[in-house]
Amino acid sequence: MSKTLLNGVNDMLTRVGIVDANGTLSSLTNAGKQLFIDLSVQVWNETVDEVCNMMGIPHIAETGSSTITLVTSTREYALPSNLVQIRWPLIDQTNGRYIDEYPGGYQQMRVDQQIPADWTGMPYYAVINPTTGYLRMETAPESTENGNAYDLFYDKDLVMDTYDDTFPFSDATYRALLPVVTEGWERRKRNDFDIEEYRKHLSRALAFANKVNRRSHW
Amino acid sequence: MVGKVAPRTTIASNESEIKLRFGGGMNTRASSDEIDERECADGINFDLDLGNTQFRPRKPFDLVATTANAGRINGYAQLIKTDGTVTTLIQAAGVVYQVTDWDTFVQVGTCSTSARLRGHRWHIWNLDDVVLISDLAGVEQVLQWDGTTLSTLYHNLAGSFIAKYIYVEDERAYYANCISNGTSTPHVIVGSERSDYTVLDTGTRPASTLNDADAFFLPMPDLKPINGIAGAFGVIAISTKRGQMFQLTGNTSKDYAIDSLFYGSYADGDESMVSSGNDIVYGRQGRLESLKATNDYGDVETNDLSVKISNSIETYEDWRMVYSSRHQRVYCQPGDQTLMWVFHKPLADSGISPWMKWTTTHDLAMNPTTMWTMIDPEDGLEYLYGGDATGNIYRFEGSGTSGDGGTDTIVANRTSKMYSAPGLSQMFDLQGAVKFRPVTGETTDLNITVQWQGETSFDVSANITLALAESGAVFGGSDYYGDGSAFGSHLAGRLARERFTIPGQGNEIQFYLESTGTSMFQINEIYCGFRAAG
Repeated sequence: MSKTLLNGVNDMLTRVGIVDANGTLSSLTNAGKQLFIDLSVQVWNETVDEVCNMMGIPHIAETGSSTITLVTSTREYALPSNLVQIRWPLIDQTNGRYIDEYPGGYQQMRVDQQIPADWTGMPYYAVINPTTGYLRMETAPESTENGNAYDLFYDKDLVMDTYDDTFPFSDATYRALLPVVTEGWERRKRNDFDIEEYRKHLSRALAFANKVNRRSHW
Repeated sequence: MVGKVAPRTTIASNESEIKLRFGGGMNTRASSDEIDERECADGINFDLDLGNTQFRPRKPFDLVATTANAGRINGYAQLIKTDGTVTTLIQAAGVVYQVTDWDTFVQVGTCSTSARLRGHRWHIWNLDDVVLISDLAGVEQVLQWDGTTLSTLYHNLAGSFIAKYIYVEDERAYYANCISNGTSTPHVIVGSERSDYTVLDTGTRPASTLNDADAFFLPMPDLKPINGIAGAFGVIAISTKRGQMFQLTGNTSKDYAIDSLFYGSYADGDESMVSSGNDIVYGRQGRLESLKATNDYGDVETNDLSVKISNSIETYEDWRMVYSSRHQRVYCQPGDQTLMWVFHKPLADSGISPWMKWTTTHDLAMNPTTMWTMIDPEDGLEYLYGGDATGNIYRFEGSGTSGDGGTDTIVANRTSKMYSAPGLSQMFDLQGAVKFRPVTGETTDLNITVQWQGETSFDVSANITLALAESGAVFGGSDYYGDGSAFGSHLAGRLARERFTIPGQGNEIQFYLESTGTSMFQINEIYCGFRAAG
């Protein structure tokens, strides 16, 4: 995972013939080529998202963790700004408790709790309040639960926007993705897209990204 | 001035290729997408040829001699006798030398160090085989040189007689901007007696009471100093400084008169007017004009010789103009500027620009102390010459192989017309080849910079080494296939090719070509293929 976003942009722009070995970029800012650079960054990010989505399981560097600490009478808690989705449950690794996703979601919680203030005590479920974006507990903790810390494991936003951001892949995956992003770039700038090339190399990249040998038998 | 250029058979631009040809001069005024394919939007030190559309550097100027006193080169005179004998004088500071070849300088006289002696071809009085020598600075009396002796003009007037300009025609010598016996009359032209350039009259105007051959004088109607006199298309034209253009009319001393030719000529500079064979070219503030065109069509911009470079010279004044009939070029040097604009007459009226801009890294700086054309004392050909403040004399369009003055490499460059991809599409995958003809030298570096433009704007350069005529044997001997000198035949006169690839993408492109060196080559064509989409 030593390849940076700047490597990715340079390699892509070299492959499409915008720069050559003598003219590679030293930053992601270049007045004359900014359109090409911005599109390159965009395509790389789209492709990284696509690979991670297609893999299903959390990928290296794709996840993050944080801590939610219960506070007496506080039902909603701020979530990390780079959170994309929570990997349930939240786990209190001191007391062995956990908080799972509220069945039915936020709307069901509203229906179930006609008088929310009546719901107090140890929370076992939580849901994201779509209005506030906060994590809303099933119950308002009391003094007994105050200070209980739950580990929050989540998929984070993998956006790469600075030159030294590294790709969340091995170099082999990175190399396999180069033809993929090239097709994505050329589709937008040159009305040129080779679907076979795109699929072939995306499959190759996914195979490398899984870090698991292909099955030889079932 | 009428010229025909080679047909542009290979100029083409379409979605898949561009074939760059050259042969035109600078057109800095028009939008770069509107100029002719053979013109350039900018450039220096390239050469033009009516019958050839190659890009090639101008020839260097040669250091031909240094005067014994290393004095400032301030003047010259050349006598071409009726028998064809040519003798040449060079004024270096306060000394006048005769030059028979560029190795031998024989002092034949002295003069004021501030004098600026001129003995042009139109100063030659062939009845007696002498050249009359004026002084642009107005300090030395009129001199004459008969091929052996330099002497003060013997004349019939009292006291001294100084003239800044002289013009000889029909057995009369016309002296202009005169100082007679200490009285300065810069607005006066004095006509000698017919058949005798020594008999003058500063007190008698043409009149019916005079004999046909009598001497006379005439003042300029606007009373401004005369700053040029030249003849062409049957007219003797006289210019006054930042004033008007007049013509001398009449046939005898009974009816000579000064008539207006162009009211607003406004010629600037002491040597800003020159005959170019069938026309008179003169420089004014920010413009260079053709007198014939103005005479025929009036003061309209389309007749300006400098119409295609007008934005590049709009602040220049005090022009020095020199014409070489052998090269058919007018060399235009704006006062105190370190460059020279060169008008290639055969391309006038061809529709493409006849203008070249010459610069140099040499100390001469394209701003000689004196510049003139004359017959070379050695080879008998006409050249442009320039001098400097330390006695050096340079011959332009020379034959040296070591650059300007024998020391300085020549940087030649051109920026092409702008080419556009069709519609909203962009060009990319640009690959090309330089088709060139080696002339002299071993190698030269050619820099090709593609200036991508449109939605994006950036430059990409490629350096190509062109192996030239003296790059060595191709096969055989110690050279073998693949040692770097083996590929391609670079024999003089043969066409050679070098390929290149330029990365980038854009809606429009311009090509900037630059060569630096002392070698001579000709680029016939630059071919570029590309894809376009978007």
